Amino acid sequence: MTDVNIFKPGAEITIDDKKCIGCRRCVEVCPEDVYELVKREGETNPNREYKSIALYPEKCILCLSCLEICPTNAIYIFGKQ
Amino acid sequence: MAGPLLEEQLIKPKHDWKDLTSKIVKKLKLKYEPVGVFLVPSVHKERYEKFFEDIPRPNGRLTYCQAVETVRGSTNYSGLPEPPDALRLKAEDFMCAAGAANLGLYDLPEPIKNGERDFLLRRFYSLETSRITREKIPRLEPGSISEVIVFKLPKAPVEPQVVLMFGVPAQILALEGHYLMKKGGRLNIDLLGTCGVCSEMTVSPLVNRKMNFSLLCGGARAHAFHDPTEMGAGIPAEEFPDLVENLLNRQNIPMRQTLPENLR
Repeated sequence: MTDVNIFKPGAEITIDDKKCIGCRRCVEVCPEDVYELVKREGETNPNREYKSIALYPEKCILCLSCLEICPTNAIYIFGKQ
Repeated sequence: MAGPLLEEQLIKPKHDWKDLTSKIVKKLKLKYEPVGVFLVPSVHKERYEKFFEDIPRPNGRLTYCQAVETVRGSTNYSGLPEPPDALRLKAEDFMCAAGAANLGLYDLPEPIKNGERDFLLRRFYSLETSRITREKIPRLEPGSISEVIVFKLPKAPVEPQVVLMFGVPAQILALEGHYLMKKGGRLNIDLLGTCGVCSEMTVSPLVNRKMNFSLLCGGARAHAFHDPTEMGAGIPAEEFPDLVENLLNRQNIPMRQTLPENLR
């Protein structure tokens, strides 16, 4: 093939802090380990103790598993869901 | 490089798509007009560049199914101020790697190709069944396509390769009957319920040269097609004019259910 486009990993990922319940599903489902669960500083509500962050967005392969599995639709990729 | 003769051969629509659309929409009481798809082959990328330069690209990334949903006029996901009648998508415009890879823009990222992605979603019994299932999803050769043009069928800027139609099962039933009853036989559907619009509705009809149905897929229903009563059919464009003729000239397949007004 003369002009093969090569897939380039990486995405702009934002997580709505108000919506994220720290359920860990995106961490577990991501095949590229983009996400990590961290403690919310100073959070007193035990149900909101953790939140997900996109630690390695440059590794994202745009499989959209995280969008599919997030129970609160907290994740946005390139600003979209 | 791109002269009038080449334009005539490569681009100029060979049928009156506006007329065909109007007939089928009226006959089947479709809610939305069908969508045409043209995949630009990489080997002729430069030739086609000039022909499609006036077709807008989306402002921001979107999935293939969102692009289809946008041009059919339901929801505008393009980021453009006005809903476009046609969209031109390059590899970097895609938000869904699987959709772009199925359409031949590049190869599948390895974790999708080897089944890991679907397995991690807890859909499969084993990594092996996940990998085999992914392998069997129809897709075009990686890098064989440089751009995807999707457009409202009546405003076809080019002869489409595939026509995508959406409707409730009763409408698709009418379509399928008239597709088969001229040449006879049965239609073996190429279906999984993954990659519904990109693979099942677009690539499968292209590769297998016959109509295919799709119940759409989780992604398409989550990101674009929000009406749970809809399903889709992909028809090789060269078969579409004959299909419309059959629909108009042959006995109606009786629909014993009357379509509710809000679904028409």
